[in-house]
Amino acid sequence: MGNLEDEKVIELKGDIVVNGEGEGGVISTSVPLSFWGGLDPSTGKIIDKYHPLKGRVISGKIFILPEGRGSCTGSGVLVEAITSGNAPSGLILRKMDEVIILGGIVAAEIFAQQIPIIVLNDDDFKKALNSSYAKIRSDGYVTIMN
Amino acid sequence: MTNISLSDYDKALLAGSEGKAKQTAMNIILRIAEVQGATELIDISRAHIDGCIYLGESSIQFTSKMADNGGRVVVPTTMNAISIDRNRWTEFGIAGDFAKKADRLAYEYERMGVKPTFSCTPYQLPNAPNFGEHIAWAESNAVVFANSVIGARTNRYGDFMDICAALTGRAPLSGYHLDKQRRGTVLIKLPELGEIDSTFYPVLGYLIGGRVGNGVPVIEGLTHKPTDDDLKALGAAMATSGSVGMFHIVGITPEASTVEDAFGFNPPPDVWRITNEELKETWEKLSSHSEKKVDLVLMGSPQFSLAECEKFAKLVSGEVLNPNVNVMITTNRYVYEQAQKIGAISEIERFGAKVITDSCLCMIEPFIHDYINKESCNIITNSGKFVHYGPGLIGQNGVFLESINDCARSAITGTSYVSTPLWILQ
Repeated sequence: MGNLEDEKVIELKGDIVVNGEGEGGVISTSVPLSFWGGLDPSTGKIIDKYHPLKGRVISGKIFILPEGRGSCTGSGVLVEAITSGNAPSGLILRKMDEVIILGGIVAAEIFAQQIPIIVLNDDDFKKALNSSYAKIRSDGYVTIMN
Repeated sequence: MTNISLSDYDKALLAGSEGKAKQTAMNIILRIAEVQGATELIDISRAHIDGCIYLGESSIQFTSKMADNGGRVVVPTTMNAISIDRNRWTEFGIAGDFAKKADRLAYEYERMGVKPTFSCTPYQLPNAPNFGEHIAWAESNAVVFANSVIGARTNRYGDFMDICAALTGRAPLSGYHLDKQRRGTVLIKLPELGEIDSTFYPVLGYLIGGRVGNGVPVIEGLTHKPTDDDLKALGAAMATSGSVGMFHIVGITPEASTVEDAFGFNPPPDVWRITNEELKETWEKLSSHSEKKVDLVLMGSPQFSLAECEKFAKLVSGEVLNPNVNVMITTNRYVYEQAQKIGAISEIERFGAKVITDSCLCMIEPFIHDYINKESCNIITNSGKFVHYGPGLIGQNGVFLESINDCARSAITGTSYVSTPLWILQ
């Protein structure tokens, strides 16, 4: 096994929750986030005082987080972020978080605007956490670069 | 949707024979059912709408579209707290444009037949759900209370899914609707504790939620008998630092007469012995550490109950509010009227505190906009939920947790109260 970690391009197969394509620089965290009270949908900025990503802007990025937490209004915040153009280019999750996923589904069903949402297994999620750039394809494959 | 077996009613809705709104609702429900791996839908007997918080244009676009398309609820449906005090928003200096949008959103839900209860504590209103009832509630604190304390069955329905369930009376058979998913995932053993005050429950909840995520914690060793307001604070905090939708307290909550009962007679998959140090660290994280000048005291997240109004009225009876402090309490109209009848509101208002109805601390920013000095503003709250979300929501880091008694004392003296609670044994 060579030590090529630094420049690896890896392909991962995820489960598609919301179909679509998206790519961008990665913002990742192993700490769950409540989108309501944690993400300002009018700026894309993370505002949760207790979250390690506080102050970061996820608009146009691939946002990687294990799952949501807290408020049920997280779905509404994601829809508002998507429809106002401040959402990430794609979401990669570890768990089928029903609040986040619902936001993605409603944006697609009602507003005909969608960002891809993909769920990865444990090992692949860990790899994705450490990536710096990611591209999500409509067939559910995710290409990550370190 | 191939794996989901649909009733004739489901099929009719999906085909659009009951109108466009119900067709859209059924489409969304089925997409969620598919993601959850549900194989059928069930009837729900009532719903609670959380999508009535104004977030931006999309909130109104979604709701007015569903109402325009003929959406009418088919089960009794309550509405969460909204972003304004509907009758008195001008009194609080809320911008007219914002107030109109927030009001319009609530109106669109009323058009669909949702009751204007404006409460994030629907379990403390008359006609609360019963044990075993399948319901579709949104609002994280209401979900965890309904499942854990009442023994009703609801998932953590997000905004939009709440109204979809209300319009169809259907929801995926998954998650907390199923016996298996209601069983404990971790046994939590409490240490020996000193005298318990109202900060204990939010601190314990915050500690547990942060660790167990979306698990079902089973708390053992609680010798204090919690009130409904204690359980409300516990659940709200767990559903803030984590995504807990259900907890058990052995000997207290209805599905946990014993540890075995709570785990469905299986061995606990995990055991966590909470230490006094862990409790102390959590309390320190949320409290103010040092004595500080207090600018605002904010209480009522989740909304104040009648008992809490009565308690606070007694604490401030005959006292005078410090002229440098503003106190705001959020509750619903039902509690407000009940508290008026027993004289609690007049005592609280005589003291100088403002009691806001229809809204909740989660939407307090427009109410306190004029008071927040961005340079330095110290806010004291009794809420484990607001102490977490507050800083992000109002752009102000100085939000600290105190018991209701200490909130009253801080309002009188103008200084935060920081002694370590007696329940933390050193």
